[in-house]
Amino acid sequence: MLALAQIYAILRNTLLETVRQPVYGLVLALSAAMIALTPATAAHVYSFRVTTDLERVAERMVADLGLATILLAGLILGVFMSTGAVSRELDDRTAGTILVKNVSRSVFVLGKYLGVAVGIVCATLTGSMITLLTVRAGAPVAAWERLDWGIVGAMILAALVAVGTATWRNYSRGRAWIGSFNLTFMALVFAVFLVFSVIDKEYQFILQPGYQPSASALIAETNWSPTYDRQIARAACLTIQAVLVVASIAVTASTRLNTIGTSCVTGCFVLFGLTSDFTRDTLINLRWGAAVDALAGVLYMIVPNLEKFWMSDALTREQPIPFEYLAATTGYAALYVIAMILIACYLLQNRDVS
Amino acid sequence: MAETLPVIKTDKLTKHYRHPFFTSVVRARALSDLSLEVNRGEVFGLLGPNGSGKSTAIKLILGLLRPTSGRVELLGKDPNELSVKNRVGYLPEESYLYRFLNATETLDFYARLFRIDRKERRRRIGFLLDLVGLTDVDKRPVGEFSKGMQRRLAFAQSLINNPELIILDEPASGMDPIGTAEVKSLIGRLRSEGKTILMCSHLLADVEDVCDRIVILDSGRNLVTGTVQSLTERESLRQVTAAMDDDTVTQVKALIHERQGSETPIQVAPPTERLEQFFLRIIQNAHHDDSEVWRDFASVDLDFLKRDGRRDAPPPTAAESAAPPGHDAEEGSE
Repeated sequence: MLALAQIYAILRNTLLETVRQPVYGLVLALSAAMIALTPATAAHVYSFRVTTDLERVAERMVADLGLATILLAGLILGVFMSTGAVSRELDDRTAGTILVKNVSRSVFVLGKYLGVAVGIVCATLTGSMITLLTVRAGAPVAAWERLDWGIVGAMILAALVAVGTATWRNYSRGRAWIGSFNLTFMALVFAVFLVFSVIDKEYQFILQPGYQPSASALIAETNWSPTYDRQIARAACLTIQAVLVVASIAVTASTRLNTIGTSCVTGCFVLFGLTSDFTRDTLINLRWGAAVDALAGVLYMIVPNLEKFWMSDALTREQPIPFEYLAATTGYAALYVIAMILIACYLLQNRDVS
Repeated sequence: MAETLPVIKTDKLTKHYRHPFFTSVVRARALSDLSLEVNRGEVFGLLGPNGSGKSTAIKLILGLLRPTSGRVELLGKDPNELSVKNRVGYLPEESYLYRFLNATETLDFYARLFRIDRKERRRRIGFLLDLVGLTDVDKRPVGEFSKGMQRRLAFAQSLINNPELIILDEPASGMDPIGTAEVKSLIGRLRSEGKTILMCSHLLADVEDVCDRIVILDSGRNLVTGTVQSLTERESLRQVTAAMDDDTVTQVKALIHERQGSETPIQVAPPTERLEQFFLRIIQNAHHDDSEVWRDFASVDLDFLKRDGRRDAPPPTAAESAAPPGHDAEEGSE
């Protein structure tokens, strides 16, 4: 029980310290803005099929850009938060004030990773919700098409209220502006998401008795939800899992390396992870001998296969993402994270903290 | 029996820093064969020039570093045992704090690590912030604190778990003379409550005021150990302080020459007030409203930091709290 309480204390401390950093707010705000503005690119969509297909292509492009933004923002935050939570603490020696207390090093590592993970999930989940809202708001490819101004207005209002709240708290209570903005903005986006999860595209309340969605209210042919595209939601979930896997690598590297070293190691894992199948197949096809084949096999096992988490192609081809696939990938991500954290605990156990 | 065991015991403690990859290459010999004991209830000073191994010794004692050879016992056990760490407080050389947390959140975090319940946490945080004079800035981010304020907060976090042993690395670093005087007063007060304190400092005058025993290190080696008084007293000389007119001084000098020979060197000079006392007196006089400029902890109720945790016992008198040894010129002992 003491260990659990300590893990929670370290998680909470890590989350507070990270969410209040200006970089976190910058990444959050920029990614939100980039996702929300992607419909503006819809006018540049083209297709060889009939006009109605352009709408689907535009929506898929918005979703694709949204997922890419979530992935990029998540990777930046993951590396930044992980190095700050572990490597910089060990360098700045704030870790020393914790480790001299009745806190085991394993608890320290686990608490730090969970704090980083919660921070990443908050940011990337916000990005995912904005992506779903943006797709639902529409991607007009022609002048006569309209956006769902209810959603657009709600998101703009959320941003303005977050700015206003942060300003008021900073003025009246002396609270840090960026921390207040980050927390308020994420909470308001979640609130907007919840509101529109019970209202369909024709602004009917879906929880009313006898509700039947009309054909125009449905988001996609393969999607039975009248509110959000569930395939995009599953794809976003997988993207978040990929970011959490990368964060576990960054935390593990941070136990022994400084910020630069951690970033380099993590970058290599990401690079090879995103090209995992291609790299292995290329090495094997070179036919340079059994040693190279074995090396390819070992690298394939060690480096996380981030291709399994990237569903952009499936969305583009409108291939459904089965729940079974989501469950299997979640299990893979969980096992990989657990393995990384165990390695991190071992690496920190024998390290001098000075 | 446990009360008589030394709180800290090192036996030929040695630390060599090696190359991270070529481990046979020794990059620095930080500590060599350090053997010392710190007894319960005393204030023990670690002195030495820069690079002498003071901070390395402290980190070895706390289990942050692994010794190359030798042994360390902390409260009779290995310093890495969690049960031991529960009874230790540590103030590092630099105030390593989280700059985006405020003072209350910082102390709350450290209190949670000891699984102190919410009500008790609030009480202790309120008391400690008042003790170190940070109540008015409890909601300000630590990143906006001055160095002295950060030091006070760091001192407070070292006391959050009511430790038996408090290790202070340069406790007055970054503090003005008033803050330094308050730190020394608080150390004396904590000692009177039975706390054991290990401190290292470059400010020898401060060490002289509060420490019972000291060890002087250089290049990782123990040069000398002993009480401040026994190490610094000059046995062949006596110092007498009294109000005397010129005639009396002449007669005293004649008496000394008559009894011990005319070659006996005699120095006559008015005794000087210590600069610290003079500074505090001047600052106090400058406050026309008679408000307290600095806090003397001799009479402060230490709440949960008391010897037996009692909160309603009367505070000790100034005479009962341990007086800093050897800080004033002695009267003639005859």
